[in-house]
Formats: sequence, structure tokens, C-alpha cells
Amino acid sequence: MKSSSLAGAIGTGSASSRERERERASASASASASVSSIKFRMPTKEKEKESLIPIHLDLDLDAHRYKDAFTWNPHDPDSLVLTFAKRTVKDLKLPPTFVSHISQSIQHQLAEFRSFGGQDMFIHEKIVPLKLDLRVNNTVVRDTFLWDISNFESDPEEFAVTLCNDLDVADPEVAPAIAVAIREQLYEIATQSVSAVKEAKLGKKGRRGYELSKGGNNALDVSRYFGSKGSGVIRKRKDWYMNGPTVDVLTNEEVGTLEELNSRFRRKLDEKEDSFLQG
Amino acid sequence: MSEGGEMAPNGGAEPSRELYTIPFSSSWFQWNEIHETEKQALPEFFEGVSTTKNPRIYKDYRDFIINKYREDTSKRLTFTEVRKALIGDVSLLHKLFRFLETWGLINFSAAHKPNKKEGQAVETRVLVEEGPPVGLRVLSAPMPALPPQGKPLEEKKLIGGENGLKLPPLTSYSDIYGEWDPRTGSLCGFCGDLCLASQYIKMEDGLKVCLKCSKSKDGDKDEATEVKTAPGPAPAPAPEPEPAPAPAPAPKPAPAPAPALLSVPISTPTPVPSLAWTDSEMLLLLEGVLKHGDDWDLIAQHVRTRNKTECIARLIQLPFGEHIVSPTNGKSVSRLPVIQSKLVEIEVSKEPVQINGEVSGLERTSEEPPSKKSRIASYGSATDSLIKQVAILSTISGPHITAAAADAAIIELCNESDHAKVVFDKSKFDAETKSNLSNLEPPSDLGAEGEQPTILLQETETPSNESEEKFTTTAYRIRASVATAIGATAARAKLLADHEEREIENLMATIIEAQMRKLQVKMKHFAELEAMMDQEYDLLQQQKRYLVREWVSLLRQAFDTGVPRWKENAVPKPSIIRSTQ
Repeated sequence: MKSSSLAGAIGTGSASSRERERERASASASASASVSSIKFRMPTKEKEKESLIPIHLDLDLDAHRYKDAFTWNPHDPDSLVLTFAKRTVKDLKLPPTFVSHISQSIQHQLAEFRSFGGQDMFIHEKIVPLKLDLRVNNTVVRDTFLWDISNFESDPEEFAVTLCNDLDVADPEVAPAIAVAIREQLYEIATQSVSAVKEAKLGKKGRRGYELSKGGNNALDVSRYFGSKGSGVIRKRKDWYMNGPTVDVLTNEEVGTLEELNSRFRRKLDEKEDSFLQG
Repeated sequence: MSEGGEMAPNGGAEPSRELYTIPFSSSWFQWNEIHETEKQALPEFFEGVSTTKNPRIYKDYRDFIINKYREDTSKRLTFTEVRKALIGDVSLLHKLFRFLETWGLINFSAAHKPNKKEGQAVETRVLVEEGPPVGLRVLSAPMPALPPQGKPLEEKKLIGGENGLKLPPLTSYSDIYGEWDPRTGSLCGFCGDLCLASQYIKMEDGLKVCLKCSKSKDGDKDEATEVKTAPGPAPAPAPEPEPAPAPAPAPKPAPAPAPALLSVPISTPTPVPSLAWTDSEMLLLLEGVLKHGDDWDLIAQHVRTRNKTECIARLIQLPFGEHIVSPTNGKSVSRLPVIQSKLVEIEVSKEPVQINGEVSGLERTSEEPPSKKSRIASYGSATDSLIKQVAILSTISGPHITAAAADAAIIELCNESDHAKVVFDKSKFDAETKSNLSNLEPPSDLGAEGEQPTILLQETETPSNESEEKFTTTAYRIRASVATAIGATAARAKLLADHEEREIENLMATIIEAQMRKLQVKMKHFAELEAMMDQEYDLLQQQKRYLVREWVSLLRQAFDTGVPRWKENAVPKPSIIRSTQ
């Protein structure tokens, strides 16, 4: 893991200093989380062998649209998938064709998750800005915050519940939605750091060792803040607003117009896709 | 933050620093250092492993969070507020935040935020009397069990200013709308339970007690039954509990000497639909009083729709009610606002009791026989603070002191008239019977009562014509107790009035203060504007002068280069004029 070639490739002072710090860290690390290769998993707290992965469903059949996002425990037996699909269809009064589609979709995503299992992923300490921009019923939440993906004690649900309590969000469905959104982003990061993917990238660029996070998310430049000459970990007041959450509650009409706009937009996209494919 | 130094709970002594309160268990905390406890709780910062976590950063986070909380210690600091100002992993920050919170280093003095999930602990602005939660109760003795029950209701008592100025609700304060929920019916004043329509007991001033509360408190069922059957109970807004709270508190802000405890479904001799006295009723009442004077039976007959005691009650409530009564029968109950310590001067045999401490009042009232006087008696005891009474009783070592006090009063009384002796004599028997009946704490009270009549008995002789005097003593008793009641009410009313005034003053002060601040802000704003305008003006002047200079130099140049003739047209006259002004 030599830094010279990497430094040459990057060519920026800050990057090289970051590199050097990582070297230092890895050199002194014993069982550090900064450079560890562990089995693939969601980088969040696991309570009793129960990690949660985000599942995303978006089905549109027979003029019924079913869009949903939730978390699923991959350790649960697969028979539960079918049960869940049946129950969902029954509760939401969807046509029965949905049952098979839903269970298929869930299983597909589960399989994808499991395909990563057993592989090594390199999680070094990286503080990543996560974003929230979602609408749940009448509440719109926008937020951005920093998340350390090497922190396996992190708990998106707890964060979501705290956020909702602090901001006095009335709708109880908001917190789970926030947790799912966080998990989705974490999942994406986790899959990106899986070794198979990395090695492919490495092979392409002829490099070995830990690649910098250039391709991935724009991780925080830790030296800028945390280093000895850093500007400190306390933001300026004018930046507080940008880094804080905003929660808006819409009236039903606003929600209606939003949906209207969304569907129109989607239709346009579909049309464009179709035309693209055909053309 | 300029303050350094320790933030121990035993406070920095320097007056320039604020006192920051943290629980004693957190006294290990030092502003300048990191303690072992912190290192153990948050090991991530101290392992020396990662670049983003080191002790310096930990201290920065910690200090920032604590200082942020200190900006306003009464407001609860939320995690979201701090995390948007800090750079770092939010999960870790959350852990740190929780650590600080559990150790009380932040949010210690802040109001606890009620968890949304815990039911709907509605902070109703229901108002229940703070003082004697009873209103009027037919009891031979005060209720020691009541004050503890009264306390849980205190949470519900919020009136007016929520800007930290929470005066205790006044006894006359009643939130009729808060309490009244037509869907759910009425709430019991004590336990907060829903009262079924037929199972509540309505107090004179609108307070409703569900049957079980009243049963548990009322140790004296006999009295209660006597109350019910006695003639002239207070109006019972019988089958409809809902409209009751509304009219009930309104016309009777001051407790009336009518009986308090009333069971709704029991048909009273004359069920009165509403408590409010109509004009015609008033007219009849006054006519009756003029005509019959002291004879309440006749008066009640005259006012057909009202009972005897109601008439009495209503009359006394009138500003000069007693004076109306007095000239006709020569035995006035003339007593208007009386200061508590003054002895009420009434005719002989009217005012046997000094209102010098509620104890004597209590004694006096408790010795009445159980029939209608007991209602009046309870009125007397109820207007005095029940809690005060209980407190007094509990602090004294035994009934002896109360006996002595009552004794003194009685002796005064005996000195005034012989009839008083008779009165107290008669009451001896009643007191004894009552002491048998009641089984609550102020049996000590009654014991005292029982004692002093016996003392008196030694001094006086038993009157022979008991039966004859019965009637007169009855009348005396009425008047006496009424006198007591009025006096106590008046004193209390004055207290309340003072309290109200103070409250009003406070509120006025806050209003005025707010206005002042507004005005000051405005003034500041305008001053700023003015300053800005001045600056602008100066700038403009400068510009003007500069322009003029330029223009002059231009002219000069033009002149020098030999412009032959000074054309008038070349020079805009108005601008010259303007510029020289």
C-alpha cells in the first residue's frame, strides 16, 4: 500500500495529507475500524442478529400503483415474504396479481443482498453526508447530516425517532420513512465498498490497496476539520441552517398538486424512455 | 463563554458568574478536564485510533453542547439543535448528547418534555379550587384526606400567564368551560373520573364529586342523610348534569350557607330547575322579608319556588341583605366586610364567636346540631381554609389547646349573654352525639367541644325550660352561625380581592413592560434609520460638491482653450443656480 503512486495520481496537497494520515492511522491501528476488512453487512447496529436492509417496491399494474419502502430483516425465513405480500395485498385491497409481484421483488432484493454476503468489504472510517428529502403523507422532511459509515453502532431508527421528537412531528409514519431512507443510502455505500466491486475498479486503474473515496460519495475531508490545524469541529453559525433539518407540513391541496406534478413528470420520463428505446 | 472554573452544584461563589445547576452525582465534572467517567462512557474518543476522534475534539463537542444549553437553561436542548452545528458522525454525537443528558450536565433544569406517546395527558385548564377543595361539605369535621387528593389536581390548575408567573388559582376562580365537556359529562372534582349522571354529588359552587369520592370522604353518613331530608336543600339541577356547571358557579361565587352535599337523583321536596334567582323571585323575597321579618317559613311560602334556606342564603348574598332583616326584628345580623381580627359587634346573642383564628370558628360551627344548622356550620368551616384548619390541628399536640382557645371564646361569649350559656349547654348533647358519629380526625376537635361544654356546665346550671328556649336558641344559632359565616366570608373575600389585585397588577406590569420594550425597539430602529439617512445625506452633499468642482474645472478648461464667446446656451442656467445654492 504505497502512497507515492497514489499521491502522484491524485496530485492534490490535501489528498496526500489525507493519505498520509490514513497511513499513520493504519500503521498504529491494532483492531481499529479504520482499516478493517469484515464480512459484508449493513453498517448499522445489529440487535440480536437482526440487521435490517431497505426494501423498495414500486409496482404499477392494472392501474394500481403500489409504492413502498420499508426495512426487512434478511435473517427472517423466506416464507415470511409470501405471508407479508399476501397481507399487504389484503390490507391495501390491491388486485391479487400483486402478491406474486411483491414477493418476487422482495426476494430479488434479498438475493441481491445475500450475493454480497460472505464477501469482504473494506470499511474505513469515512464520514459521509447523508441527505433526506422525502414526503410522507403531509409532512416533507429535508435534511442533511454526517454519518460515519464505520460506526457499526449507529442506529438509523433511533436517529429518526429523535429527529421526529425534537421537531414535534405529529405523523408517526415519518420516522420509519426516515430510517428507511438512511438505510438505503448506507446500503448503497456498503455495496460500493465491497471488495468485488473494488477489485474490479482497481483492476481497471492498475492500482492496489485502498482506493480513495473519489468515486464514491464525497466524504468529508477530515483533516480539514479534525486535524491539528483544522478549523475545528464547530460550524459557523451561518452554516447551521444549511445543516439542519427542515420539516414542512403541507395541506391536502398542496399534496394533491405535488402528486399531480410527480405523475406528470413520470409520464414524461416514461415517454422519453420509450422513445429513446425505440429510436 | 468567558466563564471558566468549576461548575459544581455547590455553585461558583463569584457573583459575576451564573450558577449552573447539575445534579450532585455529577460533581466529578470539571470544565477544564476530562474525567474517567467520560472516558469510560465514550471510549471511541480516547482510543487514539482514529483521526476524527480524539480528546480535544471530544472536549470541543462537549463544551459546545453544554454552552449551548446554558444559553437558556430553562429550555430543553434538543439533539437536533446541536447536531446541525457540529461536524461529525451523528450517531456518535447522539451518544455523547445522551451521555451528557443522563448525567444531568445538560437539560437538568429544563422542563421535561412530555412524551407524545404517553397518552393524552391533557393539561386541561380545568380549575378546581385550590384552597378547600370541598366547597361545602356537610361534615362534622374537616377532611384530612382531602388535601392530599387536592394536590394531584394542582397540575391541572394553570391560569393565565404562562410566562413563569403562575399564581395559584383563586378560590373564586372557576373555569366553567374547561370543565364542561358535553360529550363526556362531568368530571369528578377529586379523582378526575368521569361521573355518570346519577352518581355524582354536586357541590354548591359547581364542584362535582363522584359518589365514591364522597363516600370515602364522608364519614358521616347520618349527617348526609339528614341533610337530604332536611327541608330546603339547595337547588338540585337534577337530571341534567351538563347545564349545571354553567349556571352553578355563576350565581354563587361565594359559598352559600345552604347545604353542600346533595345527591342529584333524590327528589328533593322542591326541585328547583335553576340556581339563578329571577327578578320576580327577588321581589317576592324582599317583600316577604319586609312583611314577615324573621319568620323564614312564611317568607319561603311567600316566595313559592324557593326553600327556606335558599331564601336566607340569597338574602345574605345581597349587599345589604342583613340590614333589610335587621330593622324588622331588631336582631340584626349586620356585618359587612369584617377584618378577620376584629370582633364582630352585633347585638347580644348574635355574635358569640370571635373570629380570631379559624379554630374557634371551627369549634363554633361544629357544635351545631345536625339539622339545618349543620349546613350553616359546615359553611363556616368551609370558608375558612380547610387545609389551614387541618394544618393547625395537626400541629397542635392535642385537643387541649383547641379546647383552651375555644374556651376563651366561649367565656367571652358567656360574659356577653346568658343565652349563650344556654346555647352551649344545649349543644353539649349534640356534640356528644356527633362525636359518636364522626370517625375522622377531628374527633379530637369534637372532643375539645365535648370538653368545654362540660367545663361550662360546671359554671352554669342547666336551664329548666329547655323546650321553650329551643326555639329562640334555634334562631340565635342561625344568626350566630350566619354571623360567623358572613364574617369569615368577608375576610376571605378581602383576601381574595387583594390577591386578585396583586395578580392584576402583575399582569399589568408585564403588559406595560412589553409595550415599553416594543417602543424602545421602535425607537432604536428609527434612530438607526436616522443615522443612515444622515450618512446618505453627507454622501450626497459630497457628491454634489464634487460635481460642482468638476463642472467648474471643465468650464475653466474650456475657457483656457479659447472658447471665443461665452454662449449662454452652453451653460445651463438652472443648474448654475442650483449648484450655488
